[in-house]
Amino acid sequence: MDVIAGLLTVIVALVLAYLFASIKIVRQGYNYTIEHFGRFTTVARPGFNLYPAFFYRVGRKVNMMEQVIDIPGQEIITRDNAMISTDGVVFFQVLDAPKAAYEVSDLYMALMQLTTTNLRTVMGSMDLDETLSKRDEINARLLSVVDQATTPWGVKITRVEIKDIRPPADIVNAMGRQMKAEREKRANILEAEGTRASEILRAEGQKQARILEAEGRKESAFRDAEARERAAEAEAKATELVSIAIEQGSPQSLNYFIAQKYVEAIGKFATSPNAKTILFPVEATQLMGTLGGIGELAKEIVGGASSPPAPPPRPRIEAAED
Amino acid sequence: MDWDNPGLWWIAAGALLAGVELLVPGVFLVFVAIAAAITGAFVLLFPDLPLAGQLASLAAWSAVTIAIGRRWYRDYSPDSADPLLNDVGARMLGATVTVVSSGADGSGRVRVADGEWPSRGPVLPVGAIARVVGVQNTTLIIEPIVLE
Repeated sequence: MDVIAGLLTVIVALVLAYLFASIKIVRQGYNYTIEHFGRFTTVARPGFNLYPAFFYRVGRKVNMMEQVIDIPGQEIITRDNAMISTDGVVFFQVLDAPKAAYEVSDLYMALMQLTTTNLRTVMGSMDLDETLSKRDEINARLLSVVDQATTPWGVKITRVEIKDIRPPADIVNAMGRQMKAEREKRANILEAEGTRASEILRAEGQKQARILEAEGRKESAFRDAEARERAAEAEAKATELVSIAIEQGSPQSLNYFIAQKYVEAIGKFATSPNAKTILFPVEATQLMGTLGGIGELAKEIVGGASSPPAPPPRPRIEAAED
Repeated sequence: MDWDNPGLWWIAAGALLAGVELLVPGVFLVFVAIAAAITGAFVLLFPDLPLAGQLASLAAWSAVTIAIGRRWYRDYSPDSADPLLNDVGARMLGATVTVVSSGADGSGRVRVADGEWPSRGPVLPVGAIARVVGVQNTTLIIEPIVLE
C-alpha cells in the first residue's frame, strides 16, 4: 500500500510541477516569446497563458515599455577641430517583441553603440558653434538615422536628446570674450552712427542758417541798392527841379534856402537835449548878413535894382558842451 | 508490491527525469523519462526480465519515443507568428530602395533604410527608386518601379 501511495505522491508532484511549468502569467508591460522545441511560435501577451511544458517554453521576456538608455559621455572633435565632451539619452520602445528578441543579439548594447557612433558622425560634421546652437537639428538627425537602423529590430526610437555639450574651459572663455566684443562692437557702431547722424543734422542746420542769412543779406543789399538808386533818382529829380526853378527864377533864391537851413540848424542847437548852454562865437553878424541878403532879395523883388548877390554865408559853428 | 520490485524504481526514475526536464528544459530527458516509465511497466508485467533486458528496453523505447516525437513535431508543429524571423532577405522582398550606384553590367548598390546592399538588375540612374523582387545571398535583385 505504501508503495502505491509513494507512486501516487510522485505522480501528483509531477503533475503539479507540470502545471506550474505550463502556466505562464505575463505581467503587464512585458511580452514573452514562446518557443516550441526552440523555435519561436507565438507571443504570450500580458495575462494568463497556458503552454504545455516539455513542448513549449518561454524564450525571452521582452520589456514593451518605453525605456531610456544613457549614452555615455564622450569626447567629440567637431569639424573645426574643437574638442567637446557630450552625453545624451535615447528613448525607445519595443513594438515587435519577436524581432527585438531574435533579430538583434543584444538590443541595449546595439542601441547604445549605434547612437554613440551616430552622435559622433552628426556632431563631427558640424562646427562648434553649430553644435551649440542647433541641438534640435542634431536630435532630429540622430533620430532619423537611429530610427531607420533600428526598424528591423522592431524598435521605435521615440527621441534622442543631447543632454549636455561642454566645450573646453579655454574655449568657453574665448566665447565669452567674443560675445562681449561683439556686443561692444555693436554698441560702438551704434554710438558712432548716432554721432554721425547728429553731426550731419547740425551741419545741415548750420548750412541752412548760413544760406538763409546770405539770402537775407543779398536781399537787403538789393533793397539797399534799390533804395540808393531811388534816393539818387529823387536827389537828381530834386536837383533838377531846383535847377529848373533857379533857371526860371533868380539865383538869389538859393540864398533863401541856404539861409533857412542855416537858421534851422541853429535852432536845433537850441533844442539839443545835451546842450544847456550854447556859446555863439559865431559871427552873429553873418546871421545879420543873411538877413541882409534876404533884405536885398526883397529889395530886388520890390525895386528891381540889381546888385551882386552876397556870397553864401559860410557858417562856422562851434558848439561846446559843458 | 514493495520497493524491492525494480519496475517501481524504473517508474520513479521516469518521474524524476520528467521533473528534471521541467526544471531544466532541454526537450530530451522527457523522451528518456517516457522510455523509463514504459520499461517500468514492462518489468511490473514481466518481473523475470534481466537487468540487461531492462536496459535494452530503455534504449529501444527511447529511440521509439524520439522517433514518434519527431513525426509528431513534423505533422503537428504550430505555425510561427513571425515566420520571417532572422530571414532578412525574405523580409526585403517588395521593399522600395534607392539606387546609390549602378554599373554598366547591371550590378550596383542600393540604399535600404540606413544601409547599403549590393544589387543586380537593369541599369538604373543613380537616385532611381526600385523594388526588391528577389534575394541571392546578399545581393538584392531589383526592378524599376514604373509609375503609371
